[in-house]
Amino acid sequence: MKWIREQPNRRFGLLDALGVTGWVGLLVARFVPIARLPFWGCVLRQRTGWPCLGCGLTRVADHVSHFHFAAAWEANPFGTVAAIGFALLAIYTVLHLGFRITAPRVELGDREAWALRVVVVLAVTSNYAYLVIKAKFPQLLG
Amino acid sequence: MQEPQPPTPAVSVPARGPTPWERRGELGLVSGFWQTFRDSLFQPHLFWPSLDPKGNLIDALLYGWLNTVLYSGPGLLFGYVSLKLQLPTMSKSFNDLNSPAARQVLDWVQDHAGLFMVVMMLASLTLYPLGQIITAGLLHLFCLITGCAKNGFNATFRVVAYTQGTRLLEWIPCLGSIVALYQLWLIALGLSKSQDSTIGRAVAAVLLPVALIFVCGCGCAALAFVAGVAGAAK
Repeated sequence: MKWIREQPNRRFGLLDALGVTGWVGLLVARFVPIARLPFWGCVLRQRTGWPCLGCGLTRVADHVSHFHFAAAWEANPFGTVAAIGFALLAIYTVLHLGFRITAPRVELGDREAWALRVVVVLAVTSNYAYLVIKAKFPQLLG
Repeated sequence: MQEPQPPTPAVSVPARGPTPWERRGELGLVSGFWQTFRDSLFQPHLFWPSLDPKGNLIDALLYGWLNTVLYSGPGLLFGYVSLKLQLPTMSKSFNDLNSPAARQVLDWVQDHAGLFMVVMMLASLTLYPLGQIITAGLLHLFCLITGCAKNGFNATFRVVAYTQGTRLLEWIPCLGSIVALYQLWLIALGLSKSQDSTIGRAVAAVLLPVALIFVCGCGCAALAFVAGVAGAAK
């Protein structure tokens, strides 16, 4: 793994794009009552009782935008990590484009990149397993 | 003895450089736009390998934006007519949802179809840069996951922007879905060439977010509602 220090710049990159996404997502969650929209809701959970892969993400966005991190974690742990990541990137985007503050660029080797992909897949799978247990077998969680 | 075979012509690999749109200063605005539109849609096997992955983001954004502007005229007209024709049928389907709130929204759209279309078009025009940035950012995340990101975010952004020529075909009645699928294919092809990757990884990068939306209950519901209204508006 290589950490490469970037020169101060305002070059628009991936982190800025994700930061913009974070701004839009969290502002919408903060001021628009998404969960009350007429077509919103998990049809899969309503019909079968089984949560979908993204179960709780709306609540996560709502809670994180209101700084209720414990409630967000309860709704969807991996989603909370992602939402906080987007929030941090939103702050980074302001610092980068406004004040030319840059983050170091990380270059992974092939094996490291492969390991990171495996970690992400395992995290998503574990998160979904937790959501299923919480919805269908809550007695296992005590 | 076998006769010597004539030499096979070498396959010419187009050199990477600015697109005709980016050379509009020398080609002219209309010619630069038309050549880019034609090549990106109808000669993708030549266009995408020649796209400079490190090229200008603003030029690419402006090209995509111009396509949205040009689409807005016929899109507004045909969308309004289509919406008026299809809303009664949609209304019957939404009755089955048994949701008074959804019913209310649909009734409002039915009574204010013209205003609805104008608002949709204005929103589409003003929010295009935001949509482009968000789409490219999220798509590039999936490119990183599938290993199709060798040349960075710049390349992904430019690919997404230069497929916006399909917008000018979307208003054609009955072709909307086919054009949307073709755009996905163009993005995958563009990613494979611009990111120096395989078509398999590029297709995976494009289809993974689509698949994730379909396994998300709220995503499906939202998509169904928006597709229903947008489909009526097309």
